[in-house]
Amino acid sequence: MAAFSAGAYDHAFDIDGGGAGSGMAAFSAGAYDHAFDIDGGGAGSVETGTASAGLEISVVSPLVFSSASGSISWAPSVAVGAADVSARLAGSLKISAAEDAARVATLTLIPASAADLEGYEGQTVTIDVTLFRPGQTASFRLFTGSVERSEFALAERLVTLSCRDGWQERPAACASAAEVEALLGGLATVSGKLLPWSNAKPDPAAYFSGLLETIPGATAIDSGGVWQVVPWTIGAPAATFSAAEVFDGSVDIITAARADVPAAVRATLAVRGHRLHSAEVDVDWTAVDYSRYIIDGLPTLPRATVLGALNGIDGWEVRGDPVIVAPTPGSYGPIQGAYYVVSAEHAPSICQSFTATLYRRWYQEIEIVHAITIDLGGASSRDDSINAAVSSDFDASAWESAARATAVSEIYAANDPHPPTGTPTGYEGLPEPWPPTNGAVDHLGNISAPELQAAVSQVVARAMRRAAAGQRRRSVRFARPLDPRWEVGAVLAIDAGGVAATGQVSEIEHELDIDSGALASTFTLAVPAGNGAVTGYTATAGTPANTVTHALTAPDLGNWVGASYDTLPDPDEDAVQGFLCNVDPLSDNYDDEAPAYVTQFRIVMPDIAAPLRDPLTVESPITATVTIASGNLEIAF
Amino acid sequence: MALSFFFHTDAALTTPVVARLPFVQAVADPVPADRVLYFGSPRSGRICQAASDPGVDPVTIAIADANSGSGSPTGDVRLALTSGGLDTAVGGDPLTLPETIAGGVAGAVAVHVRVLDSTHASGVNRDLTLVTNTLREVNA
Repeated sequence: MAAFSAGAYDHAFDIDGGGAGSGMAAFSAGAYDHAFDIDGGGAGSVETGTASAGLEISVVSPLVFSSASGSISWAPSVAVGAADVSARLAGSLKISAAEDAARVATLTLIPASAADLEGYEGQTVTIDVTLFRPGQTASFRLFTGSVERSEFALAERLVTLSCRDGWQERPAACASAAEVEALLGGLATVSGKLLPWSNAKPDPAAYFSGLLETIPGATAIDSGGVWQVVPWTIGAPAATFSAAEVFDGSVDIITAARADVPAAVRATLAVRGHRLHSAEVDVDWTAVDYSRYIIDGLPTLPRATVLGALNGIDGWEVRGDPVIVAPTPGSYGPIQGAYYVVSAEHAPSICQSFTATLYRRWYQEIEIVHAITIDLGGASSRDDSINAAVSSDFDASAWESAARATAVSEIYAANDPHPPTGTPTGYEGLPEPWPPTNGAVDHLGNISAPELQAAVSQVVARAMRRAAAGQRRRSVRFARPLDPRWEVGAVLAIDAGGVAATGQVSEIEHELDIDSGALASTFTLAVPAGNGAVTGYTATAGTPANTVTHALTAPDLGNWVGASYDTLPDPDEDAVQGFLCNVDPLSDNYDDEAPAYVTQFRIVMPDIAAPLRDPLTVESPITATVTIASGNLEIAF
Repeated sequence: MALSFFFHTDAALTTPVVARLPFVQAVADPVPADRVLYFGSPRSGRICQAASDPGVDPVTIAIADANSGSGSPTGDVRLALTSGGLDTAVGGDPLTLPETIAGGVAGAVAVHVRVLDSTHASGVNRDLTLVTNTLREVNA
């Protein structure tokens, strides 16, 4: 650029920038010192006075930044603490700012005394510059922060101050989750499950860092010390600079590294919960004809044996009460001159037949992986990934083993003053949730649907930011005469030297050379190859299909008579179910060489297949859209 | 010992306003420039009230013009307690805060400031200052 060579600049040390208003009584040393004197003054002291804050209204003509021929002069104004050190500046003064980073400044000055060297650290620093062009004056603040470190060069008698703003301190000073979230301007995607805030052990800095990874934008503190949240949105440029307005040879194009733009970003949220199953099986049994009691001397089946058998099946419970039918008292026969007699006293203790429903509840550990792959089309063959997991705290073991509470009063035989309401289901007292009969339900315990949605959204938000940040590595950098009008996030354009680009300011560096008078601003524009005007996302968690149905085979409960000539020599043991007994040794059918059974009522319930018991992983696609604000970059040779 | 109640640039009261607050306005067709200041004290357990009648008279913030007739007129500055209030605030009017302002971050009062230049004259105007009425600071 010819019109604005470094030599065209003049400089001065006019602190007040043209002489307007030299008084800054509001910022006396006393006012400043006491503002930081947290504990000073003693408890209970009564203080009176006023507080004030001065305003500086710079009415700027764009002519100040004109690249037309002419001259411009400038004057820095630097305050360290309450001291104006503008007249002691030497060397160069550099200020740089970037997204999600502290604004830093370095300046060199001639200390007034050795005592000054001890007092720089921690002092508040403001750096202003006033630009003069014939008939025009403009004043801008370039930096607000504090001295981080001082370095004194004895030979030159110069001290270099390294300063930064409070970008790290602001989040750390937050006392609640809401304050941290407010710092992100409502752009953060909050998930209490993935990134919880602890009131007991608050860690605002970590909470801020976590949320920062979800916002479609960036943060920075501007030159005036004001916290800013910058959405990654690239609209119409606020200014377009031609070749005459940028320094010759200052335009650089930086492409994103392959590592920054992977082929895809895969975001997954693993939700660990339980699939709760419920299955029912109806069983029934009927006694042999009464003639067998006479001919073979078979025993009757005691009611207590049936109840014991039904209630003793491992993992299975009886739904409601089994229906046990007792024989009708009376004499049956004769057969071969003998009778089978059932007395009225014994009949209730004998089971002639029964029907019952057995049920089982069991759980299966399930991991539902909500996933989405965001194609970036990067040159790298690598897929980037964002992974997170959340687990249910549901006590599935207790749920599975909980016994059904009786629906019948244990106190009253009749006229229960507190009878059960509604139609008994046989499942009374079982803890929730209740899976559908012969089905299953996926239960996530303490993870509610909104919480799941929030967690999915946060994972997608992180992927969105990762993708957008990678794309924003493609950038255009250029330098021009000091231009403090633009902050991080401003949308600018350049059309110079065969490069036409529109992008969002991601980095700024101002350099003011006290010795030579040169001053320049270097801007880095992010020009992502995106797919929209704004950066954002939508995400909806899918619900994995659960089509589990159980159709367990009911055991065939029969009557198995041993020690008989009719006894099978080697039956399938799994089929030997029901009432197992033997003929009387005095019976004509008694065979002492035939297998004899242990008298019992045997029930073997069907197994639960391994795929319905073993830990299960199910993938559920996330319905999502991700947009990345697109810049523009055209290169012509 | 002076007041610990002061203007800050952040709600956490970590950055007191120690230099003039800059506002940039275009000469032609300026648009309003808004900023938020936080008036409060980092010292929990302290309160401030109007010295004229503590607890009865409100704390107020006025716009003082050190050089009336030149620079920016007070009417170029609006004050409000909310962002939306700036639209209806009258330029140059003082802002009324509560009668008692508690120290600590939770007690800080947001003061919204809007500047809209009416001079349309290139220059840097440093004649305006936000200033409270005389305050009395004591333990809560």
